[in-house]
Amino acid sequence: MALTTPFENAVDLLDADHKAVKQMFIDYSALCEDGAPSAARRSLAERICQELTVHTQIEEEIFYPAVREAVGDALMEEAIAEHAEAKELIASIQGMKSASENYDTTVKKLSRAIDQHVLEEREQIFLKALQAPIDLRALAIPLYKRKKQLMGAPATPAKENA
Amino acid sequence: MRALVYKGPRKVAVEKVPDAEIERPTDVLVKITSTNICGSDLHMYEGRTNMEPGRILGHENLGEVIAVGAAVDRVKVGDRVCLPFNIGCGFCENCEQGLSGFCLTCNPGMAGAAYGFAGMGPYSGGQAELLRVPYGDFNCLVLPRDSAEKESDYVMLADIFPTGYHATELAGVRPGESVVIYGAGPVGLMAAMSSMIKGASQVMVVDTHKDRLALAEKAGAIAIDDTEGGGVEKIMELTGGKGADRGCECVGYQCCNMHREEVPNLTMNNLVATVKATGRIGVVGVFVPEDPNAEDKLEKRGRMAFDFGAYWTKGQSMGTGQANVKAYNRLLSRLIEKDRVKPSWIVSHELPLEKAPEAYENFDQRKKGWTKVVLKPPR
Repeated sequence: MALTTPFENAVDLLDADHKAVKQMFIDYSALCEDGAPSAARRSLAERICQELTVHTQIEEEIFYPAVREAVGDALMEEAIAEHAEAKELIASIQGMKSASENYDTTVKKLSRAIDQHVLEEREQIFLKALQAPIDLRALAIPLYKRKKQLMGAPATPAKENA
Repeated sequence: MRALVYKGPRKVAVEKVPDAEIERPTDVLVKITSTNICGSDLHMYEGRTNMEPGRILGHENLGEVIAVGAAVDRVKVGDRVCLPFNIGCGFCENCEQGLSGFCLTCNPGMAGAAYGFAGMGPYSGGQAELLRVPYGDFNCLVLPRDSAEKESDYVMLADIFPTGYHATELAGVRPGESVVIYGAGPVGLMAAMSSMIKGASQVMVVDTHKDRLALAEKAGAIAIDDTEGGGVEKIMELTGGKGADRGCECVGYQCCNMHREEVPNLTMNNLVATVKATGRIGVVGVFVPEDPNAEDKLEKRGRMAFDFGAYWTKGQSMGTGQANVKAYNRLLSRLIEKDRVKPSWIVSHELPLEKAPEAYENFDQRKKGWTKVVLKPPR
């Protein structure tokens, strides 16, 4: 039976993650401002980290290789370097005690890094991919499938991509 | 080419930058002859957006086509064109419906693209000698023959005239109705003019700047100076205690109280108070989904304390969002062509592009007499 997805194309699917994470970051700042207990902040931060881990993984495994030729090596390398930066921040958040003072600062640093990455991805990579002869509609299916698979896995930090 | 470059909060400079050029076969290249500073440019100027330093501002553009891409059929070299501030593709689900301000393909992930605007795609602005126009056949409004002598009128078709008109469309203004407009800036003034065109019986414009209120009176509106407060009471009295049939928000999230402090919910709640029960409100002032640099805690999260109880009890309704310029600009251009309106009446300054930095400074400080600046790149 053919797997389907409600997302029209790969860009819609990937950007839905961007939007979901953006809202979680806004909520996180609100929790900090409102002095919410560290358990509440931690639980949201962990959701953000998991969402981003899966997102970067499906991009690197499936989306980036498919669009690399159209987008160009320079932009791709930049995006992968930004992912690496995000992964480092995610790892340090996951290894940190949520009561620690650095916790909120690190989450906010991740938020800024992701903002920047998303902006560039939308304005450069997605735009170029949409304008290239790539079947983004077909590509949504393996992305969706892999995402479901990874999300279903226990919420442990995913392995870094080599 | 020379261009106005954003350098950081309250810093802009006119610099030499690489020429804009045709990048895709569907592009048109325009030599800009008039380009306005918009109130929404000030959100970026003041550092209230994620605008990256180094980008060229300017989304209210008019000029002459000097080159067209191989896939452009309709637009010809030599055409004088006005460019809607929104960039649409013409073929997505929203563009098909005339909602080109919410184009789904020109700025992936976000609905809506524009020239030189934070979060609205990688497109350079037109406060420059040259502008690249994507999907030129769709986006260029080719101007009537008299466009040279009425250039300062036609350039208002890029944004503020359609945006002011859109406010009255969202509010559903019909002949004989009364309209209250918050904001006597360029967009509010265009909303007042549009309400008059539509045959409103009473148009009230609220602001605290006397020079701008004077312009509202010139448009035939009743000026309501809210400097000392009491604006709401004045409107209720003028409408016999009922409130206006329709309301327009033409200020946005950086609206200020009489002490020049930002109170983001001020105009929205005043509209709920001054529009009649069952009346409709059109909101074209810019509001943002987050504003990390705001002082107000709610505003940081893109929220406001809205008088929803009163809004519901009064059975009001509301329309929001940026104008789909292409839905209106051709028809509005005929009002200019046939001398029915002269939107350049709000222009206070026509300056060479080189003077843009001081124009930004004066406009940002709402210096008396600085209502609308048209920049003229070197010919």
